[in-house]
Amino acid sequence: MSHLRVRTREGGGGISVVYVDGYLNSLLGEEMERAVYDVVDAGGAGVVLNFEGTKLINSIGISFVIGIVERMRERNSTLAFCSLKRINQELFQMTGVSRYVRLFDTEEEALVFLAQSV
Amino acid sequence: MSSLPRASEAGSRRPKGYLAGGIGTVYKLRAIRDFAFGLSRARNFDESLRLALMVIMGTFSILKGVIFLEENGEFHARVSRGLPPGILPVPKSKDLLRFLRRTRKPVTVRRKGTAAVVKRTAGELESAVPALSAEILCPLGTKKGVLGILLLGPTLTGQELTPRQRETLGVMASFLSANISNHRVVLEISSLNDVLRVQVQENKRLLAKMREIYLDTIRAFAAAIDAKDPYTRGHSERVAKLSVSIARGLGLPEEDVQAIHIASILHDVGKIVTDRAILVKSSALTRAETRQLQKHPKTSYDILSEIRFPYPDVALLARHHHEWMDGSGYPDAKRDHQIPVGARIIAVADAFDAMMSNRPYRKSLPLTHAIAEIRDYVNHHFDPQVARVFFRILRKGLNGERGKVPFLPKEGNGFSRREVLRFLDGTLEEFP
Repeated sequence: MSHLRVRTREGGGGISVVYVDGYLNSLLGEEMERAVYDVVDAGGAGVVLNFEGTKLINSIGISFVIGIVERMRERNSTLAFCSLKRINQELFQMTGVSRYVRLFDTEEEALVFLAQSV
Repeated sequence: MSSLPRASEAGSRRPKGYLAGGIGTVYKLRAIRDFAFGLSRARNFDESLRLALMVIMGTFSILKGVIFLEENGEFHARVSRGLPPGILPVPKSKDLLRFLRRTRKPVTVRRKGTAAVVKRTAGELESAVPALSAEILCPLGTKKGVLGILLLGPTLTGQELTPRQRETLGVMASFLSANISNHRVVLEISSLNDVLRVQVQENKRLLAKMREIYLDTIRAFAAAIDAKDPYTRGHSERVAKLSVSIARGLGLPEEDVQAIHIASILHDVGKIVTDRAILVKSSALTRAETRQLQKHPKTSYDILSEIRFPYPDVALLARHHHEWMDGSGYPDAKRDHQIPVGARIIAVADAFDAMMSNRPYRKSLPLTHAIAEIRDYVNHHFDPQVARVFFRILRKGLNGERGKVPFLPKEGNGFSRREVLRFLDGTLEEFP
């Protein structure tokens, strides 16, 4: 890969922000999963998944998202999503994902929320 | 998941515009497309199964799933997601087989009215995968038989699949079954190929051995003829080698080359009925003796046409090896292309070897003399194309390009390789 499609940034207070750019399918899903688990395995307190650059999510991408939601729940880590395009937000509602993860319009709102919950 | 705190719906809005009520259909269609892509584009079989499982789980928001495939009388977990490794194989029980033979569509396990056999089957599978609470059992198979089982856990929301969703899952499962079945066919074909390859090698070996035995028999036969005429010992074998070289040089099909090989070994077999006195006579033959000697190609034909050779026209080639291009040969006075090409080849090889051998009535001729003789009789006796290839073979032989040439004399005794090569080059200039 010539450019980084999944990046991680330290958001303060043990919270990391993972940016997912492109088409969330099998390849990008694996990268996203690895980035989130790296944070959790390193003892991070919480993760914000920033979907601002995510154009589309396919069924395999949803499968990865569901896996992450479940794994974070098992580890009692906090998780929030932010900056979703409308179509992806509706997809999360339709698949039931949004019932278990807080969705925020902006990264700042998500970080504030997680800082209070941790 | 029901124990999870529900996230607030603060960030969500109601779908508007074309998405209202449509996103489900779009997502489902895309999922079916992803499913087909996953099956066709995967780098290997296991990846195709993994992608198929992920599409299914993503489409229906399912947390855990496993695909069992039937292998060696057991069901083995081939791919899984959301489950710890180390899933045990499941033996083929009566219940399991009964369920798989009876059921074609996905079934929900925990429902009122679910058949007892389904519940028992789910129980057997769960004992191999304790981390999975089985919700959906989906048989994998074709009309030909059972291939495996797709076992799925609960959905993210804990809701049961709707009848429509089960229908979509059924379509995906049948695609998946076709993919597994194709993979099995490919495996069977490749193992069959291995068996065939070994068989073909064995057949080739046997065929080569049989051909050797067959050639040995023919050589023994030819040796019997040569034995009758001590002056021509080894003649048949040398003519055969040269004839085969010319036939290959002319680019003839392998079947014709083999026919020429056999015919050139046996071309003089008719001499078996010629009086030995005639064969070894050192003075000129009488007309009656010449007539008798000239019967040998026809006699060769009569003998050889009784044998069923695996190559075409062997007897005919022996019959015509003394025919000349201008029609002055025997036994049928054929000319030009009426004479089979194999016979035209044997004629050149036979004449050359005769000139290079000691005869009862003369000593062997010098090599340049023999070459000149063939050159001078091109178009009268010999085919120019055959002669040209013959000269080239001779040149290659003299240059050492073809290893030892058995019909060439040794250096010395009036034979100079360089001189002959110069002579050959001059001759070849006349045959562009």
